[in-house]
Amino acid sequence: MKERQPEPGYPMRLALVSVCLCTALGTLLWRVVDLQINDRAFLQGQGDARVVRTEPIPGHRGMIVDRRGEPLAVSITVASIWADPSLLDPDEVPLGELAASLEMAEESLRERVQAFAGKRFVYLRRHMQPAAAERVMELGVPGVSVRREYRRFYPAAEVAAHVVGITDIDDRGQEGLELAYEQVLAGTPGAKQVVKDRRGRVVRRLRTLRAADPGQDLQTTIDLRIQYFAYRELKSAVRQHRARGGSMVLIDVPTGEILAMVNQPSFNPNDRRDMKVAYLRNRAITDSLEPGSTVKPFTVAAALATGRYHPATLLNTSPGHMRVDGKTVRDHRDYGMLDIRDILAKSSNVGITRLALDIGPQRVREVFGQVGFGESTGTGYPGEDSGMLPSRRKWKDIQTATLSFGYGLSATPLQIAQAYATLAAGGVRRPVSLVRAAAGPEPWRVMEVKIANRVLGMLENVTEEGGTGTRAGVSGYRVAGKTGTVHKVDGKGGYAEDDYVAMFAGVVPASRPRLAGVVVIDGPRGEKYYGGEVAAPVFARIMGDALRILNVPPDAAGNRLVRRGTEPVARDKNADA
Amino acid sequence: MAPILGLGVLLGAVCATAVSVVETAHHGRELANRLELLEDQADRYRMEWDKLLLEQGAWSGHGRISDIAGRRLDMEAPDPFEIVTIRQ
Repeated sequence: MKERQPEPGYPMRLALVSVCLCTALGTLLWRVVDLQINDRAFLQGQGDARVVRTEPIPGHRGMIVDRRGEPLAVSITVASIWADPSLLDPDEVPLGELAASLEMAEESLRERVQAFAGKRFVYLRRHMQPAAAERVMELGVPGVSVRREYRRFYPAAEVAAHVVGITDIDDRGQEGLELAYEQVLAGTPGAKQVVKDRRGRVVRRLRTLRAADPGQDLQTTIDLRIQYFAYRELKSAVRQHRARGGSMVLIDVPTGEILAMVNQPSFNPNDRRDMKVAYLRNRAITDSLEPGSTVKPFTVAAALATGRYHPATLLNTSPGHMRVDGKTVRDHRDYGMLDIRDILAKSSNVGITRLALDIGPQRVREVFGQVGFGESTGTGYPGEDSGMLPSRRKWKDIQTATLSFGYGLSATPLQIAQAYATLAAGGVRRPVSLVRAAAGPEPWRVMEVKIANRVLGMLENVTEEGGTGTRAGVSGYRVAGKTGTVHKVDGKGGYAEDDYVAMFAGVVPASRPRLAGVVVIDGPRGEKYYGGEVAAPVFARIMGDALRILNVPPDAAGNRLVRRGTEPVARDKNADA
Repeated sequence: MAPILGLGVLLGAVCATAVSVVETAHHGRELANRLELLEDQADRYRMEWDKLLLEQGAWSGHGRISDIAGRRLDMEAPDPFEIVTIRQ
């Protein structure tokens, strides 16, 4: 190494360089301090704003189940693929491959991306199977992300479609119980913070801001087994009679719970491509119609309550028609002298009119109102029709007469079923319900037990030999019920000659009522149109199945009832004959 | 000596807390990872359950059951008169 020689310095130069270096260093240091301390909050915020994202955690929607816990509506996990069009250049990515994995046409995918070119978000495909969505993500296309969502699935499909209702694509209730109990069912979405890279991929999860809160399950009063049988029978009857539609409601008498409620036409809530808005209507609750002869038992109840009539009281219905205020009330034929029992069994309009005119309209109207006509049933079902029960200060005789046999008022099938359930419960009205554990008003008495039971007893004659409802007979059980055949209003201020509604309302088993129900067939276009021919057989078949499912012991004579402990005698069916 | 000792203790404490901060952060990250794993697992179970529910819906549809019972197994609903009812 070369020995250093003291040299004459250049002090000015050294000072200048030192000052320059120190200034530069000081500037840098200051910049560091400035960035690290003074601007820290701002810069951190800016950084976070570019990478930290708040992501929603979807809340799971509650299930709707039947009374035994069978699912009627469940939310299943699906994946929706979305893209940020500003990151997704249709010319750079393998669009064909992406389209194939999305099961879309390449052209429609391209159009979709280009249509949303200026935006930062577009759904490419919603509600895919999670496994299929994973295959899409494996392509690793920049700007394409997946979002987890839930889709409603209805295991019972069209069988319970009307009761359950539907949700929209964002899982919000639109119809039926899905809408009525939206608050209970809907989950509250949570939120989480994540760090994302420029392509929108989650790099790191920071923290959960709010945990997702799942919605509560909703238990309905429907028994899916009975619902299924009811649906099947109603559907085949509507098809067989080429009817416009139909409804069936079945109520558990001891509790007032609705065990089955079906309508035709129905729809498949899992596949809505062929769905029409009209199919969505739960006619049993939303459509009222004139109840016709099915209200006659209540006119009779009003007459018995006066104490002036007795089931055996005779009335003259000759000659089978009578003039009231210039209009004619007709029977099918001249029945002559009939007692009240037979007036119901034959469904004599003349006989009922004589009763009603004698006791006056107010008494009839009062009984109708007490069994629930003209007022809401309180099920909370959206779009419920309360029907119409006229109240007048002055009644013309013809108005009294028509009211007594079920015209000039309107009721939904559910209201008719409710009225029969009240009769079946010995005159105690229990509010009907569609949802379990829904606190309703306490039951209250609207009719004397004696009168309710007498009317019920008389209704048994309807289904026996000589009555109008013999086809409602259920093998092994005693059936009390009433037929109804109503002319439909033709829209021109009159009644249509050849447009009917066939009905049957009844109670089984008559000796210890368990089920009350009504079958309504709207506009049968076949040769048969009477309630006793069209609706009664449907009633019989559905009730037969329901009684068997519910293990209700048969009450008709000829059944084998064995006490526990005694030997049941094994016999085959041939030996019985 | 005393001030130097005090400084040494403080230095040691600073080092210890620094290490424990790192340790806690690491532990927190581990737990977060675990949470994420468990949540993913819960998700997978949930999806599996959804799939099974769909399958059950398809296999146990009432229409299918009654079809099999009636056609393939030749079963029929008994007439009430064929049923012996036992009263308790």
